[in-house]
Amino acid sequence: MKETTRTQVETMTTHPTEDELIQHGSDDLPADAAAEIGVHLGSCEPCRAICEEVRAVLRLAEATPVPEPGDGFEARMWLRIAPQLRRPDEGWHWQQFAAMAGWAALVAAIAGLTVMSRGPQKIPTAVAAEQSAPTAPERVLLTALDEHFTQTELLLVELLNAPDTTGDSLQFERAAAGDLVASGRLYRETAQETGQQGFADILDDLEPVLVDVARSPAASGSRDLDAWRARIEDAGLLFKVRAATNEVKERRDPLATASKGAL
Amino acid sequence: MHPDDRAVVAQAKSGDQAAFRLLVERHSRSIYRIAFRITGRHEDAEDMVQETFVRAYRQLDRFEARSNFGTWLYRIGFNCAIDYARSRRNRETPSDPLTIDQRAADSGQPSTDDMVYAGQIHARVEQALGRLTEQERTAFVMRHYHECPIDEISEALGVKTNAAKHAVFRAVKKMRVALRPLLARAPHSSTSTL
Repeated sequence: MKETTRTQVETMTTHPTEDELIQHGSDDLPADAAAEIGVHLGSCEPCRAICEEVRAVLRLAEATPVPEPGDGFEARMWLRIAPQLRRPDEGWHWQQFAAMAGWAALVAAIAGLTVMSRGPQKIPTAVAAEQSAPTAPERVLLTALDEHFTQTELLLVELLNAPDTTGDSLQFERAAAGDLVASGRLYRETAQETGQQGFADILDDLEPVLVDVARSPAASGSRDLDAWRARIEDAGLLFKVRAATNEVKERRDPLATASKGAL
Repeated sequence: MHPDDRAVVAQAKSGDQAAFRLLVERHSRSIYRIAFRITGRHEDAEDMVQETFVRAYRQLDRFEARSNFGTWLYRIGFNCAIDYARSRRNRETPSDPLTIDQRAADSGQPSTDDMVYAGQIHARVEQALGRLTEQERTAFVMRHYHECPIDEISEALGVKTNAAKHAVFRAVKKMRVALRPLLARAPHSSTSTL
């Protein structure tokens, strides 16, 4: 605050300027100036009202919420960012689109079965066991996941054991990873919709590594391989995939033994 | 700055994408909050987060190890926001406050009054922010939503400290004028005595 203003405040014969009061209300004045105005505000209702109004406006603005982007935001953003860190000419191949169409049909089938299964629940008399058999849409998903996790396990094992190289010897792995990313997204969505969050979580864990492999340049070298291996091992992905495969098989067993023909 | 950012940035600079991904995981939410404040839309905010990190990656060689990565990223994020706001302003016209008031009046459901009013506040705040200049809005968001010190704001905006202070001040003044009608208490006339 200027010297003249300080004198004015001290003598209480005049008021701080409106600009000073706004700055005071928004805590943007230096401490010494703020203290002087604070003294003035103790005995000046009009000036105090201005400061309070500024504070109220700021509270109003600050109270406007920012919705959290939700779980998986970071992974989602990485999926959007990662491809742009690579060569722009890397896109999807027609085979991947064809595979997507197939998976889309599978998801549609699951969705259709889900709707159909919302009628009166049939409880097979043969299944009096404690563990209930999967519903039809779950069974379709489990069948798909069985294949998906098996393929994923093969890919992870290949990556862990691949010889260090600077050539394009990972062409097959790259294509396989691309296919698994595309199918995994659909299965994850379906798993969430059918309440099988555990499988969805594993698919979520797998996706970032698969995306990196799929998007890697043709000249991927030992550094990329080392990074992938570290991530696979650090996250225990191979273990998770094997456990998931076992769980899928176990959950399909009651179907095979006691509820044939439910579809 | 995250305590481990320095080492991770060094790895990312050497081409380690896993390291860069870690930076995305650490900082994307804070960039999202900034972006949402400025754009007011989830989809746009995500676009801005994406653009911020892509720009950051391309400029990583220019990042000096002594600097704070978070601050540096903020600056890129705010620049993206400024570019974005400019392009959006060219494409869209903010809705008229009267339209919002009319929409609220037309809703006619007493049980939704509070929601309508909350929506009005939200809309007014967004409008008020939208009517600030890019520099004012950025300064205001940094200062009053993210509690950034003035020197950080001036660094992000690339202006001197006094200019940053003044940008914040102008923004507060404009926000006061725009939001005053929403305050329960009627505007007093004390300013005339000053």
